[in-house]
Amino acid sequence: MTENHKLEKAVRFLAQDNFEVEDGLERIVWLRHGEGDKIRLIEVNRNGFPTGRIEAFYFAPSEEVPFKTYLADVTPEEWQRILSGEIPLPEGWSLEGCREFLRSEFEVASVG
Amino acid sequence: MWAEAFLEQARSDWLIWKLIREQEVPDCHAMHYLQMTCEKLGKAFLIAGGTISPKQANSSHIAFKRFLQVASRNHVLRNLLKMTASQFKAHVNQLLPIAEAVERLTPALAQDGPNVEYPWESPNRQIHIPVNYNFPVVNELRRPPGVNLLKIIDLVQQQFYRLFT
Repeated sequence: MTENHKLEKAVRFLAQDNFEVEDGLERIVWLRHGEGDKIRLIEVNRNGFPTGRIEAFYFAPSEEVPFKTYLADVTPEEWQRILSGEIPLPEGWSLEGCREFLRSEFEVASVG
Repeated sequence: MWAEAFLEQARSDWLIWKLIREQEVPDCHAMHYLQMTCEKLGKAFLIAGGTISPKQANSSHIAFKRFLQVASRNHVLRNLLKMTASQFKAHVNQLLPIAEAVERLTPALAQDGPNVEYPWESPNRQIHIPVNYNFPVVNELRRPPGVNLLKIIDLVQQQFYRLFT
């Protein structure tokens, strides 16, 4: 399995897991630019706390997700403002070539 | 480097919280240190995320509660606590309102209401002083969810490097 396949597998696992854990998640946006050993996710969360900017938290690699992961929760309104450019992306982040996962793509057993 | 600096200050605030809470002094003093512990830890976690600067972190609010909300998706923390996804989510959900109540004790977020530093006036024109006020969250911290919140505050300080490097 190539590094890209491993990364994609980890992202899909993370997306499935996060949709199961967080009921408020509407979509997960995987930013695929830049270094291939990092996962950057914007998670659009109805239960998120609006901050008006993208504030990511870092997750260290784990057995389940062996990649450095940066995860930012935004509200649906903030996501629209990101798309319109009103909320800028952090330095080095880009939506170019990004991939979106929707809740409907996954069979989600809610655990919340 | 900045994240570690915020962590070190949070650890010192935490130490003072533990010292003061055992003393016969008004609750506001211990709660002030607990609020500052959460504030600085939340900011340390945000800075570790790399998308905001220390200066921007200073204007960020409720960062510790937001960290907890996102942490329910963190496998390293979940594994450390030896919980399943559903157990950890339920665990975190119990902590969120208490964490927010602690973080809102700062005057900047108290909206002219109860806070641990300055007197305030209630809608019925009564003036309250922090040293004489019974903060409801103090009792919440004695109940199991509150005790669990204190445990996780301690844990994330101890495991900071495992979680964030």
